[in-house]
Amino acid sequence: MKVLIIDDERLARDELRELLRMSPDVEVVGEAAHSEEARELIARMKPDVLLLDIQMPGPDGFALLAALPPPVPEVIFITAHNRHALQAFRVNALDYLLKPVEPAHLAAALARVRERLTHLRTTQSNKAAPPGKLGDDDTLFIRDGDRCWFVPVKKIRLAECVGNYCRIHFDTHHPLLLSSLDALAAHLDPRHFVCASRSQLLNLAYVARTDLVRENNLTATLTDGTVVRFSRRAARLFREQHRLRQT
Amino acid sequence: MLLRLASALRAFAPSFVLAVAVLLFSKAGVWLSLSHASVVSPLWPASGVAVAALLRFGPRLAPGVWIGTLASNVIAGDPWPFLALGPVGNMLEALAAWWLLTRVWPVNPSFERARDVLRFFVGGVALPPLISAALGITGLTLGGVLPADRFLYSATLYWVANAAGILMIAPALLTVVGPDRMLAIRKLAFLPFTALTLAVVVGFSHEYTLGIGGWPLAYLPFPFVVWIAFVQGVRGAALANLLVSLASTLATIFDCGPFAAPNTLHSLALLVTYNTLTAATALLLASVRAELTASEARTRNALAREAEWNALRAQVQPHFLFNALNTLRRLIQADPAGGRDFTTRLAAFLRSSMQASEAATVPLSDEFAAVDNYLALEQFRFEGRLRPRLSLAPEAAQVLLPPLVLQTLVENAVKHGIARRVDGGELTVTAITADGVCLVRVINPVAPDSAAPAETSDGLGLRNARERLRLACGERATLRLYPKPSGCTTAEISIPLP
Repeated sequence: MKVLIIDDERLARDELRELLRMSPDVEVVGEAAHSEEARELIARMKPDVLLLDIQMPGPDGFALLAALPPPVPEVIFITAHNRHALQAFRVNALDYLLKPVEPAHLAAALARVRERLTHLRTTQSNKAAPPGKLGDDDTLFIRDGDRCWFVPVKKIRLAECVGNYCRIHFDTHHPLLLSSLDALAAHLDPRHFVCASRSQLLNLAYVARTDLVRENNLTATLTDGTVVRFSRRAARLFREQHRLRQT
Repeated sequence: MLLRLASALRAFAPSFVLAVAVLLFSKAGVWLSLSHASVVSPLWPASGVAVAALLRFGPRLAPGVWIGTLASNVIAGDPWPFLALGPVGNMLEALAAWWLLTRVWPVNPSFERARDVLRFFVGGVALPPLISAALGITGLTLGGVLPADRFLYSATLYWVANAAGILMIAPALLTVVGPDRMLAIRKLAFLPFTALTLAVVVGFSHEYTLGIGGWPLAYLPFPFVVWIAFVQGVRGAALANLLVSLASTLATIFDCGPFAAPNTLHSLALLVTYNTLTAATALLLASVRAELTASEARTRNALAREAEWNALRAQVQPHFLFNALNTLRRLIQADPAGGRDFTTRLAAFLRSSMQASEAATVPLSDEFAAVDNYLALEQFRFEGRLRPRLSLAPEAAQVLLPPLVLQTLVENAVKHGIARRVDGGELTVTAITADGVCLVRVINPVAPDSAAPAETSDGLGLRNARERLRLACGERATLRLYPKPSGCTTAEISIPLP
């Protein structure tokens, strides 16, 4: 398990390195004192796990994650804030440890990460993803205003183009992702995500039914009731792939 | 030319309005004297109007007093020596009251402190009419209206009349009239004033005997005056005073009530004593009550601020403390000697934070020592990124300020300046004295993505520090932030030197 330590205090990094020595399967592949350094190391070392201090000079921990190309590595946040202060960050699925870090808590957090990593590597769907594409269990990190989400790819129902950005629909949330729809589509498995038009990308797993009214006039109704209208070109492609017949 | 005339007119307009008011109230005073077989009136309300006007709008209205009085005297056909001296006397009386109550014993004309009321009695009511009495009676004597051997007697009457006018009218005008006060009159309770009016009618409406069969009914209004003073504040008390004094004076002039004795001087003495007692009771009670309320509010504010401060301290500390413990954990293994030093400093920091609320002020040298200690702790965390520079001028060392105000500024400088810069920066803390003030400055380079701290809890901390500074060091002590020198933020405390 390759770990990258990101904290602006040298003594805090040393302390984490010392604590990690107790886990024989952990390899510390680097240390970063700020986000710039961290981005470069992540690109080069491809760590499985980030031990990440939220507060850093320059872009903070969340800004770093939002700027990384997907999928985002596993993250364990390390902070001196108390639980109450952490709620102010409004992040779902926040795995965090409080400073000073208790060895037992670190071991438990590493165990959870290990389990998820194993799951990711062994799951059929994830293994089946074409090279360079995200698997169902891979995760996007989205930051919109003061809220952040870790979103497994399989939870995305629909992505819509909004200017240069795109809006992601999952669960009950609809945050804005600061990247173009084309850029997002490039990362997604085309067997699961299809373009309904230039501005809409939908996950087939959430299509409740499709209606072909006339030749190439195709609509898809999603599980949440959203109706997506296909463009003529997209409808033709879709019919060819899925052998739909006119009803 | 026309413009200049218009602006001159505009400048003169307030004086003119005052002159008209003085004229009308002088006519009322003259009318009071006509009903009574005396040359001088027992009550001169115009004096009260003049004093109130000058106290509220300043001495530039003084000519209005002179013109109004002169007009009234001309209409009454007074002899020329009185025309020369009387109006000047009334103007000087109002000016004297203004000077005494703004320059010698300054009062706040809202009369919400007992001190203001007492000062008003002396500097507004008792002393200024001495001037107008001396000049006025000199004028009347020279004009042949009064015999020279009755000078002292007449001057006393004149003094009493003007003093009574000021005592009756001025507090009511000063507390009731004004843009923000007109609404407040409607809030006056109906019941106590009705009761007071009834008591006044019962007390003064009957034909002169020494009370009805000797009963001291004139004192019937007193409980109601006290009631109003307690529940209606200074404004109500001033109005009650006006009501009672006016009624008692009118009654006495029309030979009603217990003070209308056959002997004019006797009658006047009774009336003046009564009215002075009423005014003193009403205004003093109300002002003491207002003072108590204000001091309660101040105490409540101070307690609330203290609680807010404690809450802030409690909220800021954990983040610092847990980071410090994290550092300590590392030092124990990697640098035991450093760890020992760190522990001692941490203990000193905690001790100074915990004891801070025990003292109202501490010398700057103590605060510098605490800040030095705090920065040494933070240097363990930030290492080369935090470069502190402290300089305390010897003459500033003993300047007193509330504890932890400087500490708050330095903590903010670390948190918003140093900690958010990849390469940190220099944090400068200086204290100097110059031009009668002590200037303490905390200067840090700004973070690249700096947001104004005004909206955050640190903004609250700043506001609180500012308030504590003001409470401990007076209104002239200030705390301000400014974006200088370029690329830096400076927090500057300014404390006037004693």
